[in-house]
Amino acid sequence: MNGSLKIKILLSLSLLILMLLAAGIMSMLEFRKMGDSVDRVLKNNYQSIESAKRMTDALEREDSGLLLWMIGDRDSGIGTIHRSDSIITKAITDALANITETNEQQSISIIIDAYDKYHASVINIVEKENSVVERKQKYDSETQALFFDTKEAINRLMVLNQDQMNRQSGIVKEKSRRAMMPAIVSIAAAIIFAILLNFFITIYFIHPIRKFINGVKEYYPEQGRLNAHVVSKDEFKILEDEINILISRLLRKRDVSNE
Amino acid sequence: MVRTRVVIKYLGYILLFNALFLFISAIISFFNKENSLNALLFSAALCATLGVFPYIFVEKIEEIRFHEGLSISVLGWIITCIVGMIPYFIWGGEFTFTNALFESVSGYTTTGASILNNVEALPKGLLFWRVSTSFIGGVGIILFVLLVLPEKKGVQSSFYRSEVSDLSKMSFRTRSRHITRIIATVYFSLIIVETVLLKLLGMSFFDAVCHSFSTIATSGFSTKNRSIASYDNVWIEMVIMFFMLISSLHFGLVYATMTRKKHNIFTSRPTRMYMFVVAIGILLITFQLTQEKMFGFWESLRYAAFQVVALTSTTGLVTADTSLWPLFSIILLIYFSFQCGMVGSTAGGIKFDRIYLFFSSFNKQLKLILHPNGIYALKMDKKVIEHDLELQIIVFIILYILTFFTTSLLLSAMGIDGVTAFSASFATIGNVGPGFGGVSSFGNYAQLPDAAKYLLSANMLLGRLEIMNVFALIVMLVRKK
Repeated sequence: MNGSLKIKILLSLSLLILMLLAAGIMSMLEFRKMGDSVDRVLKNNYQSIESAKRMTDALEREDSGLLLWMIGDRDSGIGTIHRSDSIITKAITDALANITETNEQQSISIIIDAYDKYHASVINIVEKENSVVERKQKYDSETQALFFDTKEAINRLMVLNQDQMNRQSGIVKEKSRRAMMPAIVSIAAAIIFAILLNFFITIYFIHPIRKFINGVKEYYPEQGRLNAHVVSKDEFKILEDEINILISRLLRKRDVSNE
Repeated sequence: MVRTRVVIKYLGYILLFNALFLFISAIISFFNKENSLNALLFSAALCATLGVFPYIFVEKIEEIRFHEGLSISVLGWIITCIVGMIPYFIWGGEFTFTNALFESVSGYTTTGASILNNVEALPKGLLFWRVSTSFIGGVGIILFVLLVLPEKKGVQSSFYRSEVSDLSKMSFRTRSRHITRIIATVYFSLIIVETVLLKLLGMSFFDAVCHSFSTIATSGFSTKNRSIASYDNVWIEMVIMFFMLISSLHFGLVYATMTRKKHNIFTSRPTRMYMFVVAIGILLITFQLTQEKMFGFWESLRYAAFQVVALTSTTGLVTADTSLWPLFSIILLIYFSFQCGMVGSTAGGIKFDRIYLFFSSFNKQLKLILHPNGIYALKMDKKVIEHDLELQIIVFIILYILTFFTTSLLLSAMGIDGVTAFSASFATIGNVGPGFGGVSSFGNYAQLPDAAKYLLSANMLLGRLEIMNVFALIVMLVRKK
C-alpha cells in the first residue's frame, strides 16, 4: 500500500482496535454464556433443592404437631399441622412450577402421593375420637411409615437436583475454560501484532531516518544526489526527492555563481 | 538475501486465504445455529486482521527470489497449521491445545489422523472447517495462493521450485505458470463430480461435500465415527475408491487424459506399473482373507480393494478393521503405506515413482558392475533422469527411512508399545492416517501422550514438505546467522 505515514499508522491502530474489539466481544459472549449457565444452576436446581428442604422441614413440623396433639396440646398441635400442610402444599406447587430435569415430574408425583397418604393418616388420627393407645398404635403402625416414605421421596427429589447441579458445575467449569480461550488467543495474537508492528516501524520509519542521517553524514557535493535509497512511497520518499531537488537547485546556483 | 517484509506479506496472503474458509465454516455454523459460531467467527476475524496487516506497510513486490519462495513455502505451512488450530482450541470439547494442534496439522498435511473419539459430536461448522483444512492442504496452500495472485516476475517459478518437486515437474509437459491451472482444474473437477455422485447415492449434501474434499485431498477425514463403514453401501465405496485412486495419480497425467493428450495415465509406464502393483496387492489380500475364511470372496475383494487403495493413496478412509487381518495382509498394507501414490498427486509418502526409479537405478548400477565402460541412462517415460535428480531421489528415500526410524525410536522411548510406535510413525510421515495397534483403522491418536502428539505433528509436516525443504530452510537460517 502506498499510503501516507498517517494512513499507515491509523490503519495499524484500527486493526489493533478491531482485534481487541473482537476479543472483547468474544470474551463477553462466552462470559454471558457462563453466567447463563450459573443462573440456570441457581434457578433450576437450587430452587428445587430449596423447595425440597422446605418440604422436609414442614413435614417434620407436621409430625411434631401430631405428636403435640397426641400428648394433649391439641390447639397448638392442630395449628402446627395446618401451617405445615400449607407450607408443604406451597413448596410442592413451587417445585411443580420449576420442573427442569427429566424424571423430576415423576419424583414430585411420588412426593404428592406419599404426602397425601401421610396427611390423610394424620387427619385420620386427629379427627377420629380414639383412645390414646389406639392413636399410638395407628401412629406406630401406619403414620410413621408414611412419614418416612414421604421424607424418602423428598430426599430423592433433592438428590436428583443435587446430581444435576454437580453436572452443571462441570459444564460451568468447561465454559469458564472456554471463556478464557479467546483471551489467551488474543494475547498471543496481540504479541505477534506488536512484534510485527515493531518490525514495520523499524523498516519503514527508523531505517529511512537512519538512511537520511548516513546520507547527510557521507554526502559530498560531487555525488550530486543524496543516496538515501528509500523504498517506500510515503512522505520519506517525498522528502528524499525534495532534498535531491534542493541539492540540484543549490548546485545550479553554485555553478552560476562560479561562472 | 531474504527480504523479511516480502515473506511476511505473502504469509499475510496465506492467512487471508484461511480466513475465507473460516468465514464459510462460520456461515455453516450460523445456519445450523451451532455453538461453534463464535469460535469460527473470532478465528476468521483474527486471521483476516493479521493477514491484512502486512498489506498496509509492504510495497508492491515485483519479484520473489528463490530463498524467499522457500521461506514462504515452509513458514506458510507452519503458520497455517497454527492458525488452523484456533477454532478447535476455542471451541473446546476434546480439543486441548495439543489435540487442536495435532488435528490441524493432520488436516493441512492431509494425513487424516485424528484425536477425536466422537467425530459426530462436532458441530457441522467445525466439521466443515476440519475438511477445509484438508481441502486447502490437498494441493498446497501456496499453490492456492498463486491461483489468486497476479502473475509477476519470479513469483510463480520461485514458489514452484520450493513447492513442486523436480520429479513431479517432469510429467507436467507445460510451462510452470500453467501448472497451477492444471492442478486446480483437475482438483475442482474431481471434487464436483464426486460430490454429485455421492449425493446421488444417498449421502446428505453436507456429507457428500465433506467426503469429496477428504477423498480428493487424500486426507481421510470423515464426518462419521466409523468412517465409510458407517454407510455400508458398496456403491458409495466404489465411487470413493475410484476417486481415491485417481487422486493418487499425477494430476498432469489426469489432465492429459481428460483432454485426450498422447501422454496420459494409460501410456505412462510408471502409472501402469503402479496400477499393476495395486491390483496385485488387492488380489493377494483378497485370496488370503478368503482362505482364512474371514469373509467370502466378493466381500474379501470389496474390503481388500478399498483398504489397499485407501492406504496407497494415503487417504486412510476405512471400511474394515484391518488390525484383525492376517499378518501377511497387514505387511502388504504396511508396504502400501510406505509406497503411497504417484508424484504430482495429493498423496504423501515416498511415492511410487521414486521406488520405480530407485529400482531402475539399482538395475543401472548392476549393469555398470558388469560393463564398467558402458554408458547407461536412467529414463522415465522416455525422459532421461539427470544424475542430480537420481541422487536426490536416493537421498530422499534414505532420509525418509531415517526419519521414520528416529520417530519410531522416540515414540518407543515414551513408553508406547512397538506396534503402535512403528505404525504411528509410518502413518504420519507418509500422511496416511490410520496404522495398526493403538492407532488402527477404527482407533485414533487420543490416547498417546502429548509429547508423542507433538512429535507426530512434526512428522506429518516433514512428510508433507518432503523433508528436504525443511532442512534447506534450517540450513539457510543457520548460515544467515
